[in-house]
Amino acid sequence: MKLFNKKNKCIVCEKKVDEGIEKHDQIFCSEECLKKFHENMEELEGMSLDDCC
Amino acid sequence: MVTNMNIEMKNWKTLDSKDKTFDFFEYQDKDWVLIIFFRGKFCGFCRKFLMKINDNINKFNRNNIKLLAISGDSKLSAAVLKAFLFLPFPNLPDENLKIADLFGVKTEEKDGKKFILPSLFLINPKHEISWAFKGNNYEDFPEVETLLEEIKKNYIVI
Repeated sequence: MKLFNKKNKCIVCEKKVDEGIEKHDQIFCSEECLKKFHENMEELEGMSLDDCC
Repeated sequence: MVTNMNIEMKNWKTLDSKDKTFDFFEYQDKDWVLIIFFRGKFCGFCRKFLMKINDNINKFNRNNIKLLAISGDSKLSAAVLKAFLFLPFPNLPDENLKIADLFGVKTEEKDGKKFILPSLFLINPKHEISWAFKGNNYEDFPEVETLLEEIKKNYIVI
């Protein structure tokens, strides 16, 4: 865990973060939120590149 | 639609995925910038185009052309896509389509749903729009090779 200025927000839950994880150039308040972020990334895996929305 | 022009662009600011102010002129500094407007992370055509841009990133870098992507995504979706595609340039969320509106690339479907038309704007160091491409629908991106040729032909040596 890394210490942050309280002005930072978790990219996933938007809670203010004073201690958290820095990854993917973003700040996460917990492992759980980081996992949710990765799940969002996984959703894009295998999705067609010749389709839209 | 491709347009050659030299239209002065006023500065604009927005919030990035980290809620930090993104100041366009500050980002541009004295370089060229290619702004890429696209629909969002669930648009496969958009992801494919960004992947091709990324494959050619060295050609842009060595000519001091900075890249900037903007979509109608939320902060979270913009951050997810940036991480997923390993984009080495900003991917700004424009959920309310305010920046898209500023550039005239916001459009509306028959059901009232608003989205961003795929568009490219090449901004010169004098903060002028030197060249623009506006797609007619969500899949209408130019080939990256064509884009590089266009830049090479008209403005700088790639």
